[in-house]
Amino acid sequence: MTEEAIYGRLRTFICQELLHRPNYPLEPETSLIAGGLIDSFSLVQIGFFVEDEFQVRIPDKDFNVENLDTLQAISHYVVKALHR
Amino acid sequence: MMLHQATSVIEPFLERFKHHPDAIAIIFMGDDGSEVNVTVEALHHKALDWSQALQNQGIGPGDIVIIARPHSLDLIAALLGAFYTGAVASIFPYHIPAPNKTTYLEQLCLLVQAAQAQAVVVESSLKIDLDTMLAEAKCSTVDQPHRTSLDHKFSPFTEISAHQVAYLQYTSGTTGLQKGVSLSHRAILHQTAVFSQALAINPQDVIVSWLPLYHDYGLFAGLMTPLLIGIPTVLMSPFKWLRHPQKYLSAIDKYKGTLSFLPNSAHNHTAHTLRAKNLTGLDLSSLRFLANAAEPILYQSQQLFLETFQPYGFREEALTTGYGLAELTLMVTTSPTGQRARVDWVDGQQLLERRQSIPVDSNAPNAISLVSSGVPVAGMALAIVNQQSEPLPERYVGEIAVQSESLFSGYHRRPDLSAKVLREGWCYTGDLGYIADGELYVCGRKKDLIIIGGRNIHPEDIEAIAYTVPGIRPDKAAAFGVIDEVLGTEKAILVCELSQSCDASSWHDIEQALRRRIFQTLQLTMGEIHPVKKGWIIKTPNGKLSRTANRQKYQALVNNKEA
Repeated sequence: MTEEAIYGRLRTFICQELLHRPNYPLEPETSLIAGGLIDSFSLVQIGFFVEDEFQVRIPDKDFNVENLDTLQAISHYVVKALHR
Repeated sequence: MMLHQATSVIEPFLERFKHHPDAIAIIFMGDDGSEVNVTVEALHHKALDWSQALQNQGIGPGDIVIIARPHSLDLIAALLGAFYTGAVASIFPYHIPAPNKTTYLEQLCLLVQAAQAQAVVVESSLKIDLDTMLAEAKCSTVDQPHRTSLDHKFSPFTEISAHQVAYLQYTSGTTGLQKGVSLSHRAILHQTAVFSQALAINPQDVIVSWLPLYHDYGLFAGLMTPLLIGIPTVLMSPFKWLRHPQKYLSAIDKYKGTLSFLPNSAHNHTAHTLRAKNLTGLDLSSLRFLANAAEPILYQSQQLFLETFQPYGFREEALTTGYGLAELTLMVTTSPTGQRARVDWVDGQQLLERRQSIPVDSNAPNAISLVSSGVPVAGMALAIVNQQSEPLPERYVGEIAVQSESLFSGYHRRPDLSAKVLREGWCYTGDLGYIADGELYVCGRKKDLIIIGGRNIHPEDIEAIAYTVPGIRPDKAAAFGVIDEVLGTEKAILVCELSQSCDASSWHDIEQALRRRIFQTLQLTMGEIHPVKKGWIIKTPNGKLSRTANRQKYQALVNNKEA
């Protein structure tokens, strides 16, 4: 799966399922947590989505704002994990 | 030792040390996957080490010590160490996701200032920065216990009179910092005794808790009660539970947990996030009391939990509840043991308009369900009162007023705020409820407060931040909470009027700025931020913001949109 495809699926999930705003102009660098868009419960949902959708498990030590605060960061993380 | 004979919160624990040093006090499940059995003796020595470290900094009886550490054994040992020193302890809230370092330290300094603290127990990685920030304050920092092996030269300080303050319970935010709930040794000991009695705690009980220790529910139900009563408690961090709810359930199974505590939203999160593949062999039948408290209780959340976990042995009668507030140390009411919390189906319209709870059939039009919060714990006088503070009969809605030995001593250094809630020995809670068949049903709030996942948020803090964002009309914003049934908790809503220079195209930038600032300052993610036209925000005739009226207007707007 390409990074573009991963990005697209993540973006759809976040806008539709977490923000409940399908048309939200979410940019690659928009800060999700520090920007006050999603809370810790939603962050956990992203973790489950990534596991189910891309079969990538995010270990607890990586489960932090640095790795998961933007769409781009999450996509990069997934791509790196898939190629590991 | 009977709790009522003790004058200090550490006395019952020291008695345990004397008679049962090898008993397991805590089973601590670390975020790294470790599981450590901590005996009473080991915890006692760790507490002595922290007490020594505090004393090395000149800390003594009556001094205020803030403990700012993540959920860990060191946090617990430092708390006990502060008590061993005769100091007044307070745990600084540590929210997840963690704020950035600068914000965290700035807020910690605000608490040092508000509490006039003499010491902060902090992580080593933050000590140098904090020392710099506190250079002007007469407050020392401690990051390490003083390891003196087992050869301690001193004994814990127990020359305390029971009415002295032991603990300051703070919530975050500007308003929360003004309200340090001062709890005396007597209040904590009394609450521990009546809470244990209400739950019929016996030596075979095991508590399992992930609740944050900076919250009264986690601190007194999950940690202090088992430590003082003498039963083991299995602790894990809020992060671990949030990320792996199944590990919390597995801990109940593994350690045969009998008592646990779960705010309403946690019922939803636990049920929603579980995958059947992770539950093979899970047995929850040991659990006899799973208390839903600390935020509004929803019948739907309890049903969801029951339906999800009954196949794994979860017993319906364990579905219990409680009502409490920091001002009463912990609990005011709890469900009677051995029976599921009752549900009262009442006419929602009558409840709203006539402030009376009229029982109806669950299928009746306007029927709404309210879950009982149980009966008052021993020694707790409870009254439902009208605006003139006169008691109301059963099924009439009024303010919940309580009186007990567990009552707080006032807000730290704020007698003006204390006088607003403490009158003639009664605490006026600001919560609304009614009594039916001797049980309390909480059905609203007179005070302006948002409760998200058990965490108290003061709406005025959100509004104050909104006014710092260009584009928002001064004094024309209202924040309030609205129940989200999917999440099982409230979500924070902000409605705000835009200044004339703003148009729809600039709204996205304003919303982003609002969200960012509110998160940075309060570690709060707003549910919705809604721009409204000029003149929308309702104020009372004397110009005061009415958050209730604005909430109702907002809900009508949303319902109309959905219709």
